[in-house]
Amino acid sequence: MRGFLYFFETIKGLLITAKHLIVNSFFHTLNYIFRIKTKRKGSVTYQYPEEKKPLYPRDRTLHKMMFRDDGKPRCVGCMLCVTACPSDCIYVKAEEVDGEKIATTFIVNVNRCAFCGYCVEACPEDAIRMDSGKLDFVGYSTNEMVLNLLKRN
Amino acid sequence: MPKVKIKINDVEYEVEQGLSVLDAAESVGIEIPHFCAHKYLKPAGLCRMCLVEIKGARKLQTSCTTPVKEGMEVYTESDAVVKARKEILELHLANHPLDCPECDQAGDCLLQKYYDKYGLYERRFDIERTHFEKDVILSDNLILDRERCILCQRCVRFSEEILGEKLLAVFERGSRSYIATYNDEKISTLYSGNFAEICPVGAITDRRFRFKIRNWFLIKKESICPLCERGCNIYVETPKDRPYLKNYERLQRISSRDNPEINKSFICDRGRYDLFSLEENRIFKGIYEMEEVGWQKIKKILKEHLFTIETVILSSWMTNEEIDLALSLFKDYLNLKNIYFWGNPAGDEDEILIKKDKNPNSYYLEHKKVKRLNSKSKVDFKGSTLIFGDFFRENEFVMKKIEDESFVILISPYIPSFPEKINLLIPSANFFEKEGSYTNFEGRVQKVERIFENDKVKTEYEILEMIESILRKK
Ligand code: SF4
Ligand code: SF4
Ligand code: SF4
Ligand code: SF4
Ligand code: FES
Repeated sequence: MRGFLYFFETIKGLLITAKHLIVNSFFHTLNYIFRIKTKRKGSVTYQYPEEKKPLYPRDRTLHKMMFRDDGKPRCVGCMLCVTACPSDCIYVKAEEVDGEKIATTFIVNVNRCAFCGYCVEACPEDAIRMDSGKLDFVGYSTNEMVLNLLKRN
Repeated sequence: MPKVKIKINDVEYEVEQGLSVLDAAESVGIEIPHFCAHKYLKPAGLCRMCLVEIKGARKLQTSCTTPVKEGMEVYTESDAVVKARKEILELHLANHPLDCPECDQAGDCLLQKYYDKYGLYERRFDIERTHFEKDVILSDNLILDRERCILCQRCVRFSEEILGEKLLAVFERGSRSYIATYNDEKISTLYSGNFAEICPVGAITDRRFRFKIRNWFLIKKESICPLCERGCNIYVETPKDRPYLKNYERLQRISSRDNPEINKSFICDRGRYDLFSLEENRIFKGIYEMEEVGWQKIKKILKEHLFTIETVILSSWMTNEEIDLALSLFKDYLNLKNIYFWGNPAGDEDEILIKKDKNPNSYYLEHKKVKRLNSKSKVDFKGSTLIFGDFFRENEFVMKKIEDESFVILISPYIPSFPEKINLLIPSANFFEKEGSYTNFEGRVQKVERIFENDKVKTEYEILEMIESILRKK
């Protein structure tokens, strides 16, 4: 009985794969070869890294710091992100600049980061965001993954 | 003290007569929210936060100004009280800025704490907030933000009642009232740091702690201040041990620790700020004839010279235990005649806290009949000399007396002030890195915890044990 079920499920799985293949190839052929516009696009492999998959606006990607018009970071060094971060990634140091509290060091250790986005949620100044769109950050050593967010590039 | 029976929230307690309802409740572990009342200041009844319901009274009463009476029935969390608290807080916050993210008091702030519990959350005023100056420099150590002030006048009363000087006052009336010094002069007192500590909100804050770290990242470790004989109780505040917080300096702030018998909840500015200098000029490697040596080598050199020791100078920064061990070794075992102690020279004193002797443990050494080293002491540094603590700068005459052929062993946590005269330097732990007890000027023994770990150096006790093992083996 069990052996029979096993074959049954295998065949079911193969049919599902075949269905996706046929449906996707059908729409892809319509779209790209016969140039007939349909609402549904056949899903195809992205040619990464030349071609990148579009990101949704709420996707969490690498952190970035927001800056004010006068070039100072928006971060006031309240350390609420440091407090909220469950993986202890963030190191902030603040100083008094023109009578205001401004972060002078802001380091995110991406090695430790869980991409939970709590730091963004916690920030009362909208200073740290995770919408840079960068997902393909690499380095030869863990030191290269410790980012100084105040460095503008 | 005679006791009276009162009922708080329908539970009967016995409390001391003469206490205010607020203090009586606190003595049995019930907290009544309050801003202006302070353990060591006279009640003023200014903030109205401490309102409670007392059976028989027509209106809510301020618990800080009402003394307890036999048979009194107090309610601290009834509906009327909670409603009143919410409304009082609403008024306190009517002109209060939303500065918590960058306010150094956040985390320790009473306003935050009570708002969290009794807040109304919805703002019902549609008027513009009144604005004041936000960075008034009160002194080298203090900065005042008038917008955050809740006019509890703790600062005013502290200066009048504890310091006995009128340094601050409330100017203007009503919602335009503000705190200022007379003629906008700077506060100059040796107790200025206490203003920042006594302020229940972030109005007066410490300029030396300004923006350094948020105080919920700090752990308070208990210690005493070694900078004078009084032995004031302090907290040494150090960042919590989280991997990324290691980048912050290990000593962040010194604050006072309540001890009604010694320092109440105040300390002088020397303890609060000058203790940071104990962290500077440290040395972590032994030095022998101007060359760095490790612990193995130190032990070998000690073996050669310990048996010719003629003079020992102890330091009044050693703990009771270290002194006991040193005396049992050098006085009882080796029968040395020349045992002295030294330390920082005497300085000023006042009636509030500061004492003349600027060392933590002179009392114990004098009690143990060790002679204080001074220019008239008959010492000649002939054979080997063992010196604890580096006080050469304060006792210049020692320098002249040291003869060239004598072998000087110095045990000190700091870079030596006269390295050319020292033959062997043994690095030791500084005040924060050792534990033990100290005896203050009235003979009170106080325990001190080890606050920071440092495995590069040994404490004086460990060094004495090493010396003991060498001496007794032969
Ligand atoms: S995304 Fe999460 S884990 Fe990463 S830095 Fe922010 S709070 Fe920390
Ligand atoms: S990024 Fe935002 S939450 Fe983090 S310290 Fe700066 S202001 Fe505060
Ligand atoms: S005084 Fe208290 S409530 Fe006011 S800004 Fe500072 S932390 Fe916030
Ligand atoms: S400055 Fe602080 S202590 Fe002084 S009245 Fe204002 S809130 Fe109270
Ligand atoms: S604490 Fe009683 S009125 Fe302020």
